[in-house]
Amino acid sequence: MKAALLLLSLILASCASKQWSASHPYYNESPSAQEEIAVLGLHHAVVVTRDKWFAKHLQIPRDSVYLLLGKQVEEAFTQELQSTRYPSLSIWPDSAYTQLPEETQKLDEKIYIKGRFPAQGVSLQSPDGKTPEHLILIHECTLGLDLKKDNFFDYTLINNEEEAKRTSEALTVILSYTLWDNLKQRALYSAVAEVPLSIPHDIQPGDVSQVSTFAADSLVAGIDGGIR
Amino acid sequence: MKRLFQILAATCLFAGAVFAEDVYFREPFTLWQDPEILVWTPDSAAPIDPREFALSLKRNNSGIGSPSVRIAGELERDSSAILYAAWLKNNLLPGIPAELLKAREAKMQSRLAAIEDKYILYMTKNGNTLTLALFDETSYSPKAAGSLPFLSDKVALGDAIAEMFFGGSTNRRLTKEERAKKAVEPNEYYSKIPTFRGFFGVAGGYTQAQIPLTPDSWYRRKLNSKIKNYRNTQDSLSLWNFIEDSSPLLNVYAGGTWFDFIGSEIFLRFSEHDAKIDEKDTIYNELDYWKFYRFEIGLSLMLSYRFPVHKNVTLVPHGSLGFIYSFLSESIDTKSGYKASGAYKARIEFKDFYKGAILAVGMRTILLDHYGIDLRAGIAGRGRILDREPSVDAVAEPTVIGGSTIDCFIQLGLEYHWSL
Repeated sequence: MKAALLLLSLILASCASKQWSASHPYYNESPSAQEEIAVLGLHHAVVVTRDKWFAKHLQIPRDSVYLLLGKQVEEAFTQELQSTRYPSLSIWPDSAYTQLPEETQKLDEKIYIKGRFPAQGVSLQSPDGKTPEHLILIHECTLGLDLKKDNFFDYTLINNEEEAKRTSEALTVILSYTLWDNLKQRALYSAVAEVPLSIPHDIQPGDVSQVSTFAADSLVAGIDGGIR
Repeated sequence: MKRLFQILAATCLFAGAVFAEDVYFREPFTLWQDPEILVWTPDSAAPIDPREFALSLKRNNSGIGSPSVRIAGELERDSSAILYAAWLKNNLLPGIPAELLKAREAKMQSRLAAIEDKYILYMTKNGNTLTLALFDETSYSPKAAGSLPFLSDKVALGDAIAEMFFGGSTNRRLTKEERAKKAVEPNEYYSKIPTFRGFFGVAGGYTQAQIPLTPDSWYRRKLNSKIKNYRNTQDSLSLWNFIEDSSPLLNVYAGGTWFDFIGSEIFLRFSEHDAKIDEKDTIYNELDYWKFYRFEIGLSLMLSYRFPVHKNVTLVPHGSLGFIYSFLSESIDTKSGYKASGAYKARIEFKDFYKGAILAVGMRTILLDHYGIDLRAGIAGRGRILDREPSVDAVAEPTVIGGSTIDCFIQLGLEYHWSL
């Protein structure tokens, strides 16, 4: 009976296809490579889960897991963005992001992302007085093992009990981000990405950087592919 | 001819101006009578004149009463409103849904929520077009938005705006007390008093013993039986051995439904049945007529469902089960000049009343909310309820005449309906 119920719920879940991104009707052109685009909120967004597992498998003290891995994620992520798509990327201090009002944005009937968005009517300026045309807002960046974006963002699944058995088949980054039109103050493209890197033979030292690189690639691909 | 061309050209220009109007979206909103409209613009001067616009509104919609229009000075002085107005100027474009135009700033949101039953009409000039958005208290995003070609003639522009957004039927503005009451009023599904609909009607129909599609043999014995010599007949539980079964039927009824689903009905049914006498028996030569009037009163439980198929037409299929009391009233007389024989004085006698049940299904059509036509059919049975144990010599007792009498009916009724 239980198995049948599970099967039924799986079938129902698979029938309902979810939309994981939203484009503004006037998002016609992705930011050009020459553009001085700014990234906001990455440091604030990075979260590392399963610290005990990471501490054990990477042989680092548990209290410095977040410091070390968080730094690796941030560095690999921004480096990849700079090298692949936006060479003149500028990284704004966290305070520029955390002072913004927190809101939710709807991607789908069931999927909402929570994040901070600049106010209507004012363009954000960098500390040195520049006003970039576009901003990349990173709302959440969660590093963990075998994470599913459904469990994070589908509000119908939020109260699900976590599975008793924790697996470690893949390293995952769940990333939610928005491409923001800083001149007209509108969200051009918002999305949730689930980036896995399979680790069949335990975690290797470069894997965290590797998966962060993939996450950056998925962000670039999402922004370029989200054009209406 | 030249004049005709002028008119044609003017018509074409007018049509062009009308077609250039572009409504981006328009969600349903309540249009109040005597509305108050605040004209709000981020531009240096409002493109319309408030007083002329009020007159345009009256010209465009005669049901609008006397509107009052003024410039929204309080919004023009508010910093959060200024920012939102500037933002709307950039973002109010065709194809953008209302939800993406939401005012996100908390202060602006509270300003919109506090406008009560006024409207805010945002307008801004972009090149040669005037972009408009209409806000009411129910939403942080515009209820309607659109654009039209800018005209320097303020009256013509006002007319075009009035036509664009302020057409249609209007509602009376609520008083302060009514608004306060409305704000705490539960919606209809939580209402403590269920919707009640009442009706009464008169129906004519036909009743007979034989239920359609059942074999004749079930009834043949009863229907062919006749009364011999006033009382000598086959012993039977059914009245149809003694009286004619088929008769026109009159039904007067009244009832009501709650929740548009469960209801109740009281009714009075009347029919007339001749006694089935054996004409060959000479004793009946003295008889002028002999018939029975049947009266049945009852109460039934009714289940129904409403299908509003059109604004003026509602179909209500229904089914009911009820209990009845059945009375037979005898009417008999001899021909004038004949003296009644002794046999006449000792006739068959039915019980004072019979208890029974009635089962019916039907369909009523309600026109214009009040006038109903109801077609229904069903089966009714009257029986003898054994409320005491049969005595030991029950076999020797005579059968109760009419102890189990079943017939079916069909009727068409005219009804009047109302609701509370």
